[in-house]
Amino acid sequence: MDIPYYHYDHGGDSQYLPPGFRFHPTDEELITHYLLRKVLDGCFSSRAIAEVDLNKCEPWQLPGRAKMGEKEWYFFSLRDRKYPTGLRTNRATEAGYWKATGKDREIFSSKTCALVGMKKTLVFYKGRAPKGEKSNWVMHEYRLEGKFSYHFISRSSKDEWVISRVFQKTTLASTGAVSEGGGGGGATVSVSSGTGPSKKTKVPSTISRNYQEQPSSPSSVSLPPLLDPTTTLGYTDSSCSYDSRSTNTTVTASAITEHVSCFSTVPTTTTALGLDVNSFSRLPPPLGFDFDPFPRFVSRNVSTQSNFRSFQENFNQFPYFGSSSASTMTSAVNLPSFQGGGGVSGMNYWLPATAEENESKVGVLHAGLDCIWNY
Amino acid sequence: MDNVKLVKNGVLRLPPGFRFHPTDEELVVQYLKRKVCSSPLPASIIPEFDVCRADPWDLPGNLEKERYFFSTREAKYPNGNRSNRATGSGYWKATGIDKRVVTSRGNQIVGLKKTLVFYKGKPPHGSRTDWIMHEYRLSSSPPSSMGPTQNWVLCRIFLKKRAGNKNDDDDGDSRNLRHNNNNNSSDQIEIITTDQTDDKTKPIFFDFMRKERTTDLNLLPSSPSSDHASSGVTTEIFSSSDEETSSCNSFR
Repeated sequence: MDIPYYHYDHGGDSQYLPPGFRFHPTDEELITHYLLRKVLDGCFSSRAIAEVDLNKCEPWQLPGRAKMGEKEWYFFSLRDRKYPTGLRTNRATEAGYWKATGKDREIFSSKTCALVGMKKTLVFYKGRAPKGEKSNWVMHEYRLEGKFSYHFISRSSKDEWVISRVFQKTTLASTGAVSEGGGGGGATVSVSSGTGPSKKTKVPSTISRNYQEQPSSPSSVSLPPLLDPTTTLGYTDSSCSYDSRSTNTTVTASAITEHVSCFSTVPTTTTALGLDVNSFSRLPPPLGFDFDPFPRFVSRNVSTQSNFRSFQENFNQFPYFGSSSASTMTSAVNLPSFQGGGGVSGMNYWLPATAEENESKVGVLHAGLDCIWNY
Repeated sequence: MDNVKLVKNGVLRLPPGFRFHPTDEELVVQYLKRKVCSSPLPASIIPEFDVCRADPWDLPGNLEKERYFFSTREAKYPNGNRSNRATGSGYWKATGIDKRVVTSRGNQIVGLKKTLVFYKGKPPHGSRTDWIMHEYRLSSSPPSSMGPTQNWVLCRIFLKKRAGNKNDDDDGDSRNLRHNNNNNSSDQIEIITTDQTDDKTKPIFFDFMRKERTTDLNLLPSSPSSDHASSGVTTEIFSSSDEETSSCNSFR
């Protein structure tokens, strides 16, 4: 076996190839005589196998880059590891991608019957995965395995050489392949590098969507709290002012709030008196609205009773404040009118009690009239 | 014997992987034509042997590879050519039509190619085997001026191989199934996305409820206003209570 290498290394007569002789190696010869030698010596070059980057060439461009061959061409290429832990299975070019098909076949040595390599069959698809169009270009990829595995050879940890055999599956003549090669000529831009960024771009967009959606909910949630604290602050200020004027601590919180509101509205009492007269004269005409506020009236009565009790206590303690507080209460009633409001659902709920309310109102009217005459 | 040595020498000269793998055109133009004209051959790799002297498996050379031989066609009768060639265990029978060997450039017919199959037994009851022979001969007769020449033919004998592509097809189907699984997983991802969308709508519902609560707080102040605006009964009630208190004061 050494003799052929001896002659080959010296060139000369071995360069001449008689007609009919071609490079038609077996799988074992490719592994043991060419791939193994390339892995051990990266500078090794063969007259039959050229080096090429399969990601930068279309299959129809490969025949032009081969050193020899008419219907099948052989190349040394580096297997590109995209991630240190795994192997990329998608080999993309500008016009398409190589897709593995079938099972990897084992290659054994005819002498020792030991496993020396593996052979993978791939088919070229035009377009983008996974919607590519299958073509007739076929590739056989040979790699070391077994005792010649890359893991056992320290140098190969950096570079992993493989041998690729490329050919067309159909019975088309070589002229057809050549014409396709001419037509398929194109840019040499690397598509594999382009694919990576596009994949990375998609992930950030997803993250950005999540990020955009998250702020929206916090902003909506933050709206209600802005209103509640304002109201609470208002009450707090009122209660402080009341405490400063009075030393009574036995009064309930609600009473304190109500009394404080009275004091705060004292300046408006004078102007309110005029308003009361006007509103009183105008109230009788809109009798049609009596039905709407009836449920409100009921709830109002409940709060009014509690107010009366608190006023009676204060009246006993402060005789002169009693009259002023009464007038203040009247003005307090006027203030809510500016706010307005009303609920349809509430009205519907309280409708059954309308008749009873009317009777109670009639009694109240009589009492009111008597008081007015006395005053 | 010399031919055998030459063949070995020829093989040894080449690096590993190189073999004699000629096309029909090369066989006819480069080897058969020169043989007929008694010119030197490019390579001494084709021995002379009568292919009808032995069965195909007994011919010299490696059985697993294609073997090439220069052979002569013996004319049994001066007027016709015998189509059957008998050997020890069987006979070669022609099949199909003779194909023309054409040059790849000028489209000139340089020879004819006959395909034969080996049958075991005696004709016409022989059993067919997988041994195939391609017989090449020149299309034009040599000039008569060269004198009497032997009818050289070039024979290629090989064992027909049956390729098994079914495995690849089955594997391809399994690949498709895996691809379908990927599609299903992507659909599941979409479903998950839909669920997330539902979760996002809930906060809006909460916000609406909170707004209602704010309105409830306003109901207390607003109810007296509605009562006051609707009728004078409320005002009269307050005024009556004030008068009562004032009357009590007058008593005291």
